[in-house]
Amino acid sequence: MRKLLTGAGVLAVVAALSGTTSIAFAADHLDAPAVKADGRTDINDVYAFKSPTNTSNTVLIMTVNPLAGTQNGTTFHPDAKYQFVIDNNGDAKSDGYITVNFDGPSSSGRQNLEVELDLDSDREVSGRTGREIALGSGGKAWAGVFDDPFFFDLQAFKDQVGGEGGSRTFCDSGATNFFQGLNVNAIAVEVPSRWLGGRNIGVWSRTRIDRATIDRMGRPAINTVFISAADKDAFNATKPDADRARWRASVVAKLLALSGLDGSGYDAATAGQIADLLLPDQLTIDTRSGKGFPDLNGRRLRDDVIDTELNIVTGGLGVGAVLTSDCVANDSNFRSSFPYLAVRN
Amino acid sequence: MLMQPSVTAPARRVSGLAWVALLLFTSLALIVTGVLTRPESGNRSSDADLPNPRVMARAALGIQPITATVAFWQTRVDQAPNDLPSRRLLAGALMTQARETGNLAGYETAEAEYRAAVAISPTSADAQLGLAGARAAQHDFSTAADLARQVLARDPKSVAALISLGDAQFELGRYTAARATLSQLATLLPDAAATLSRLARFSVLNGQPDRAVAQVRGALNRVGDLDQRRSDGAFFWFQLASHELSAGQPELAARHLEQGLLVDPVHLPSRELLARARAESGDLASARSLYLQLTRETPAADLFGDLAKVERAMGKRAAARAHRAEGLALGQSQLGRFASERRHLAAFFADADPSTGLTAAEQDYADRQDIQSAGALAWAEYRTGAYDSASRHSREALRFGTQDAVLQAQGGLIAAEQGERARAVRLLTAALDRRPNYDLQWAPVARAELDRLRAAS
Repeated sequence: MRKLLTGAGVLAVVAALSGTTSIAFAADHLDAPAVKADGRTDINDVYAFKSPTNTSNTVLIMTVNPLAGTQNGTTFHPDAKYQFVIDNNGDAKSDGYITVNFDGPSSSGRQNLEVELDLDSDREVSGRTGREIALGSGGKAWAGVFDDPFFFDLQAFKDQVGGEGGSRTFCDSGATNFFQGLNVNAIAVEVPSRWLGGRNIGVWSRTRIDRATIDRMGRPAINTVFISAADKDAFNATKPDADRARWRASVVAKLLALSGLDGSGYDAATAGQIADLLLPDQLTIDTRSGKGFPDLNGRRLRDDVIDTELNIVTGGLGVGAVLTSDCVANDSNFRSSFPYLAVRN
Repeated sequence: MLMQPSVTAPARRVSGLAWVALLLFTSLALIVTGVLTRPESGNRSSDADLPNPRVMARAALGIQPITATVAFWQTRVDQAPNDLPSRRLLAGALMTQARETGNLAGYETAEAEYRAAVAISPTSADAQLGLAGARAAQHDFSTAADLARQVLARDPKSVAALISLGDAQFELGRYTAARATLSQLATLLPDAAATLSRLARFSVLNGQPDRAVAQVRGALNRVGDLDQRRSDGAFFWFQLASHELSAGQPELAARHLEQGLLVDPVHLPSRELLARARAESGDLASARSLYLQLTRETPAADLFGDLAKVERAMGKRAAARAHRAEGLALGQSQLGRFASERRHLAAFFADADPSTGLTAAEQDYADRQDIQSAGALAWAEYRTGAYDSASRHSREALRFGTQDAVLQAQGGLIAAEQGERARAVRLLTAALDRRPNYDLQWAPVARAELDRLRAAS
């Protein structure tokens, strides 16, 4: 899951009054008021994994623009910076960036773009959406519209956990991947791992306009599940190195509540340890390891992050999980080569 | 040949009752919490501070036509009937389709989907407020307000519910309550387009049309960069132009409507308002062309009435008679079918068949007591000779000091009939100074009456 829970407030405006983007409770889609009005700067998911085609490379992917083409447009925001931020010494501070900027769209919707690598190896490369861009030394980038790789039984979650009053539960006969057949905009980058400055790194993505962070995301579901509706924009504006100081209490409280749904939840100390594992909100990855999110090592496209996180947040680390799976599997036909994402629907 | 009247009718509209549906269903963009991209400006002669409509149009690239969106979500719902998110998205798409096509029956279809969504998840705020929107689009504002209150009872800070409730209260004429709700919204979203658009409505109510224009310019600025549907983007230009026309600037309104039509070339409310602005500017040929096109697309009685007035002013009396007759037939068939058309029909019939117009106006006023309902009733009563009640309701319509030229001019004629010379002169002067051609049929009557009153002094 991305950000599973979102605040009812402003989100509901979208859902109720325009009817256009009411997947809000599902993922990182529309996770906070500032991102709700414009899907182009709304980060849905972030992925980081060892390249399946070159073990010396690391792949970074961010998806934005939920329901691209169906409810939203299919372009990138021309005034926004789309960034992968790299922490290569464990202090949750930025040590490097991969920034992608876009021009305004042509009449056909295509956009010129520029990839700025502010890493061990700095460079700028120009290209265009919808095709591969060579970054040198085997590095490459691609920005465009793809099948949404996320999979999740949204309605079961809303009914069973979200309290909407419906009858669906996880793993019942109506199990459905809401995201099947939907598209997103995505930026995929594959670079030599050595460019990232270390074997063990932390990665998060952010979108910025005029030096203000609109959305940021590392691990799936942190903002959505653990942060209250009123604080979601504030969370997005927080730098990861301040996450523990600012948001640890919120995460602990939510862990205690969710794991205690069956009456046998985490104790405060365990919840605190898990909070320290989840914060700061970044995907930590050993770039030489092919493991994925189930081992808290980055996130691969096929990883069932819902099942992993349901286990974690509902007691799976010691006291017995209340929920273990949504019984929905990946449906995307991921490509075996870069950019790995499935073609758009 | 008459179009089938019972199937479609325009969803638009230009007059006051248009606001709630239009504002409600464009709230995707309205909820922006304050990414202010351009400074607000009171300089209405320059568009330098306004968004580029061509850029607005390109931000919408890739959004599929609404028919495709409806089909997509319908398939999903057919496959999984209890999939609430898909059903809500289907309902929302149907709302958009109704708005874009002018098919009022589409709101009933959307409402059915929202009702199904509420049945699936009875405490889903999204479903309840979606249903509130569908009821509001059909001008059942009481039900919309009740649904919004239910959501607010569970979540007092729900911005969506505050918007639904405040809009419904405004449309019902419960202005004190509406202002209190708006104050809550303004606290949560102080500089958002949603707030500014609604503040503008109060500015109009209180007789501050220039302030209203400045506020909706601010709203347009705040949404100009969004990747919204073309129809939503065009709405904000329409909103600006509507206030400009009310402020007595038909040429400026026309210019901004043309900007909006660059965003969405088929935007129905913009084309209708452009026809009116052209008529008020004296460009009758252009107005007629637009009305002819609109009446081919959307069977609305009052559009035929407006077309007939333009044609009469152009000396095309035979065409005017024919189109007026066509409007009468349409209007008769639509009375009682669509509540959201009632006020338009009341105004149309007040000219063409006053007793029928009075019935429609009374029905509208029974449902809600906003200033436009009071004004429509006053005019229908005047046209049927019920001058005392007309005077009472006209005063009710003007009690907050609105500078609405139509209400003022009608109030002036009613006052003249009652022998209230000073009031009549004041109201007629204000109306005709601001909008000398506010109505091609009645403006000359109002001017003649004003001349008579002045000569008699």
